[in-house]
Amino acid sequence: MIQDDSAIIQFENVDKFYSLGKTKVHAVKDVSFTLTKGDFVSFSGPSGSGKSTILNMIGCIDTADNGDVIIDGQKTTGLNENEITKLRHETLGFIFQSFNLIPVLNIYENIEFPLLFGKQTDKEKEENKEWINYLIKTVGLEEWKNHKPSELSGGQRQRVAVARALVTKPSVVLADEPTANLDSVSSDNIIHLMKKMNKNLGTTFVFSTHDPAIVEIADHVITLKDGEIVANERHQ
Amino acid sequence: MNFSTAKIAYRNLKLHKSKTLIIGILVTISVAILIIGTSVLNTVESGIESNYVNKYTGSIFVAPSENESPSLIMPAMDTDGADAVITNYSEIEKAVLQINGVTDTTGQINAASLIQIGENGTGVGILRGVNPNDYETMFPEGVNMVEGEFLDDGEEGIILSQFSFDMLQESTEFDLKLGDTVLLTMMNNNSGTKIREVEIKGIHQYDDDSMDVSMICFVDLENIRALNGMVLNTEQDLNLNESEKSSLGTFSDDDLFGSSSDSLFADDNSLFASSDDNLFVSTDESLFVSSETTTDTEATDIYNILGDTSLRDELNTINTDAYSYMLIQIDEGINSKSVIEDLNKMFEDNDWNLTAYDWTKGAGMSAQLADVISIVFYVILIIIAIVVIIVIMNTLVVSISERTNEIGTMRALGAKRSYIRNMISLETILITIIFGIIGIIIGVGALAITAQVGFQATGTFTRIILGGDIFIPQISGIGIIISIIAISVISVFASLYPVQVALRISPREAMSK
Repeated sequence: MIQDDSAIIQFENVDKFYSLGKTKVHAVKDVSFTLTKGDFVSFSGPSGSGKSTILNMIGCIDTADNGDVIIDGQKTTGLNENEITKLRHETLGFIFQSFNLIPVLNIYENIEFPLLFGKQTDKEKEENKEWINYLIKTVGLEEWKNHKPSELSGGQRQRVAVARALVTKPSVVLADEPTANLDSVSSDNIIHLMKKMNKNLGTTFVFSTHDPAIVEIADHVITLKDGEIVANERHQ
Repeated sequence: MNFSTAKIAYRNLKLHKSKTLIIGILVTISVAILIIGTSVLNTVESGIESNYVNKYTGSIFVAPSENESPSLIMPAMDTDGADAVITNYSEIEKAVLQINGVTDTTGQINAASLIQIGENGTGVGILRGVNPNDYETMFPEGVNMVEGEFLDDGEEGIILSQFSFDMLQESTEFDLKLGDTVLLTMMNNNSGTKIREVEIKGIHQYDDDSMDVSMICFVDLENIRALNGMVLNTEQDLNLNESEKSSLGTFSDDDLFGSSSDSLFADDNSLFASSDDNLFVSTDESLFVSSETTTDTEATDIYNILGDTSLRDELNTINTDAYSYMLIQIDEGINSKSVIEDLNKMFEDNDWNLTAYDWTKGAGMSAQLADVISIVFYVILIIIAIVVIIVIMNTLVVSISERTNEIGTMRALGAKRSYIRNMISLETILITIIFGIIGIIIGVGALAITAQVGFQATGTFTRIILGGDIFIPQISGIGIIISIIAISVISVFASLYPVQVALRISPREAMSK
């Protein structure tokens, strides 16, 4: 495989199989692609096309059965659990379809949560505090920072999730159907918020989505069908 | 683990109130039961120990090693019918008093005897032969006189128990009173049948008059030794020549007890034919004879029948240095085990065939009730512990199942398995600490209230169990520590499986919902 300095994620001839009872399902078939740093990438396609499986492999939640998955220059095959956890923590941020905020933590603490798993000096703690407040301000939830997730609307919760995904300053944010549980106005707001973060911070955003609004705004769209790439387009 | 883990664990407990309460109430009840149970058990044990050590047994006792089932309460019930004997008591007592921690000693002889008034009334008694002054010094609470005075040293007589007195009274319908005499009959392999007549000097009753102590009657040492056959010949291997053997008499059993009309028991005129002034009477150490109560002619006849009895008389001399047991009191705070070790080492070094035991070994059934109660209590505790573990485990598993998404999210955001393990364990620990403290407060509070009010014993059994008339439970520090340790162990066991369930949750769980 050719090393591309601008590449943040590379898939090379990746296969993934699932067992469904006695049946073996070929969920991803010989897939190869390269995602560039700072891309706003959308994986689209019908249910069962393999987009979530690809997102799981990028997030080191699933491993490839064949081929190579390279995240920020590091092959994920053969990494042990601690190395995977470290890679996930340092390189990746996650936005979930159901927001998945920790119910017992307030908004500030939810955003701060991923930082607990890394070592911080006192100076870094101070810097992180400023960074969290900046993110809260950016997602427009300054007044809600001491509230619990249960007190927020769906759109607000997903904003918190966006801020939490960015708090460790990851290279890549993975978003699995981030607008699926939101109304159209909230969806629109979230999409534009993520696009803004993508532009301002240079973070790569990778979506698995049915949402045409995301597909429309994405600058790299990969369309899947039955586990295969049927289109791989870059928008200007 | 840092503050945030504790914060999340604590808030999780608050969020899942119902489950926290279920586990918490179980922990509270378990701790309270543990504290109350261990404290009550300790109180009962120390009550029984204090009761027995101060009234019946002393802290330690010594018995001949061949006595395989020594009992300070009940007399020997084996085929020999008599306890083995400590023959050189004075020498041993002197040596025992030199052992560090030993404060006092006294000797004791036990015997089971029929108690009769002439031919009429029959009762039974457990005879206890003691040196009166020594005994009262060692056991100031050990003799509770209802009527009359306790024996003086060297004074002959019997102090009947109230139970034995009542039994005799009922069986004879005779107005029994102090100064009357009773016949004590005892049979054993050492000495055959012995009968002694003794005067009733008093009546006593233990305040915890359980069945196994209710028949204890105190008898002077001379009479009980005679009844028990504690005479010199039982302790000596004799090599008699023909002349000496002939001096023991030439009558066979048939001659003495046969069925012919010439035998001694053949008719109403026989030697054993009843009446208060018959031939079995009291103070003489010889087999059945008292010259004071037989006519000269009768006595001469008997001596003629038996031949020369001088050697036999000599050999039948009572061994005044013989006891069945030596009871020992030790200093408070001294470990009885170490004293027992010292005593047994001394016995071995001196080639004395004796063994020292803890009081419980010779204290009989009532004292062993504490052990039975302990076993029952701990079996109940184990059952409670298993139930508590299962309920806590089940509740935690349900709780974790409901939090699959949350835990998966944490894993996706960078939490290692150790973080999840710590968080779940911390939740269990917090529940244990918070509700354990509540349990301690409830347990100690209940004990304190009971101690203030007191619990009145209503019968003999409860008096023994509760260690006195009023039960005042002692709050046991060790009980509290045991409770805390036990509930911690229960919590750890209860959380093992739920933690494993939590650790199996992968970040995929967060992505799929």
